[in-house]
Amino acid sequence: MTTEIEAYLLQALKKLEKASEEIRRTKGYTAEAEELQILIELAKEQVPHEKPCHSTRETR
Amino acid sequence: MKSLVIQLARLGDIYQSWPALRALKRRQPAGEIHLLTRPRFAGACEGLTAVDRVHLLPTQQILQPLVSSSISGIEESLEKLRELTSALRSENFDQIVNLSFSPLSSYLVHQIETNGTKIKGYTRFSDGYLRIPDDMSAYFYAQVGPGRPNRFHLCEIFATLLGVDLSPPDWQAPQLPAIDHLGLPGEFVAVHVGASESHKRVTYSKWINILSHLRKLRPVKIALIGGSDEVAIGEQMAAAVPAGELTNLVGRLDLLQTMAVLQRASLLVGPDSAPLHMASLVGVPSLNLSVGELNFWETGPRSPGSVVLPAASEEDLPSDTVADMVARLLQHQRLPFATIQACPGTPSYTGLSRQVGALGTSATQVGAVTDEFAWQLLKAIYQGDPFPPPPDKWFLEGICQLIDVNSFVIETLQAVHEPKDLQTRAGLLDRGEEIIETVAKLVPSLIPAIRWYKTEKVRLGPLPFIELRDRNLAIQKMFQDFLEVYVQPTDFQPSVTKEAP
Repeated sequence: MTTEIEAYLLQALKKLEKASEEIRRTKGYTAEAEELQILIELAKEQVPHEKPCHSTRETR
Repeated sequence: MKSLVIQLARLGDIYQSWPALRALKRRQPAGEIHLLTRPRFAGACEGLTAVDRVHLLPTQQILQPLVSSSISGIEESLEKLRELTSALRSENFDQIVNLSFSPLSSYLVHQIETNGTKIKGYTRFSDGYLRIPDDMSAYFYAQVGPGRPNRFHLCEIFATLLGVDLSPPDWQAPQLPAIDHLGLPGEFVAVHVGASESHKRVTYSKWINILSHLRKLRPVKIALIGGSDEVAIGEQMAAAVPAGELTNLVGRLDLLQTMAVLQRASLLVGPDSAPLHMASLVGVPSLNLSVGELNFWETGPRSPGSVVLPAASEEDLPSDTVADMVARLLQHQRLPFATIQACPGTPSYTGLSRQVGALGTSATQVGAVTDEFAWQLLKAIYQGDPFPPPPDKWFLEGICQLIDVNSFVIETLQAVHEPKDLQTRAGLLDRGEEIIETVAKLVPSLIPAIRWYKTEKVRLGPLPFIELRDRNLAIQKMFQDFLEVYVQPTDFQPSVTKEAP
């Protein structure tokens, strides 16, 4: 992957995470919030060293 | 029954899914099996006649708008994603089985499932939390992966998720292309020079040393295989060995041709990578150089006669040892004591180095004892086998600590009757969980049990308050039942009397 594409992806990740936070804050966990999460995970997979981690979440 | 199987991992994982997919087709010949995979690895579906339709996750197309400078990049990417998810949703699958165990796949499953779809594998709850609907996936979450004590092979794990039993016909070669034009010798050893991840690879210089030692022991013809990324190492090796000894096929074959070459080989020598699993399908034994942080129990070779040489790095893999093993396998000679060999059934390997032997003070022997105890503990927790005797006094001390803290957590939960009670007690409950985590760090032999406990908590979904409290209580009580096994009067005797390291 070229440095330029990696830079674009990292920038895109920030945009996506910001958009995702905003939707969750204003509308909760909607279908669109989940779609954004899919894009976030897809982008993370492409960025070297940005390891998509195990799906560990807080327990209830 | 219309099934979608999601396999978004790499080539090797797709090949390890073949036996389970074939078993599913064997069990439901009239059923329809769809497979979702990535375009880059779709070649591993060629020849897999059990699958009726392959869907591709077009990652590049989906992400392309995001890497352009367009402001509407996110919307365009979402549109492309929706094309895929709505197309899959409209298939109305009866079941979706997620063999990928990743955050991405869990969100995709939740997007695709419809009312009434039966789900196995990771998905999501309506509030976005991870949902682990079945016990096999819960086991995977808690116990599978490098450094963990699991000994079930991925092939069996996938089969369990698909609800099928494997049998020998599930491992067989697909229809393969002719390869006479390659001019391969009558008898040869296939050597895979690469691996998908650098930490698994064996370097050029190591391969040259291995071949040099092998030449002295037993002259043999070699066929090098590998992908286009490995062309350079293939050329280096070809230049370094005597003429006529080696056929360099690196970067020249597609996947089915590679499988055809393997079918003709007497043996495959190579790291954990796709050709190892291809060799399992075509029934050719492998000498698996299992280098790096891997769990060979999960991803090792399955053909009869296969051997695993695990090593933390290639420095721990003496070239003469590898060459000696190749020569012995080719000549069907007796293998050295404690060699790890493939065997039928589960677990899929036998080897005295992994069994409890005479106890000493070396780290290797302590490690072997710890591994064996952890495995026996897993079988007790998940399969109802007898609980193994405690490995040392530290384990018992850890059990006592956990009983104290878990009893406290149970009492605290029992005092919670409404949300305001939880608010005042949340800090205490969090502290209890911290102590449980700390015990796990101090007593590693308790880790498998604590991971089982924590995974059961992760599996809780969005529930009404009282029901959530009761489900939490039930888990704490189940944990208490396990802990009390080791403090009730039994015939347990500590199996070691040494100090813990």
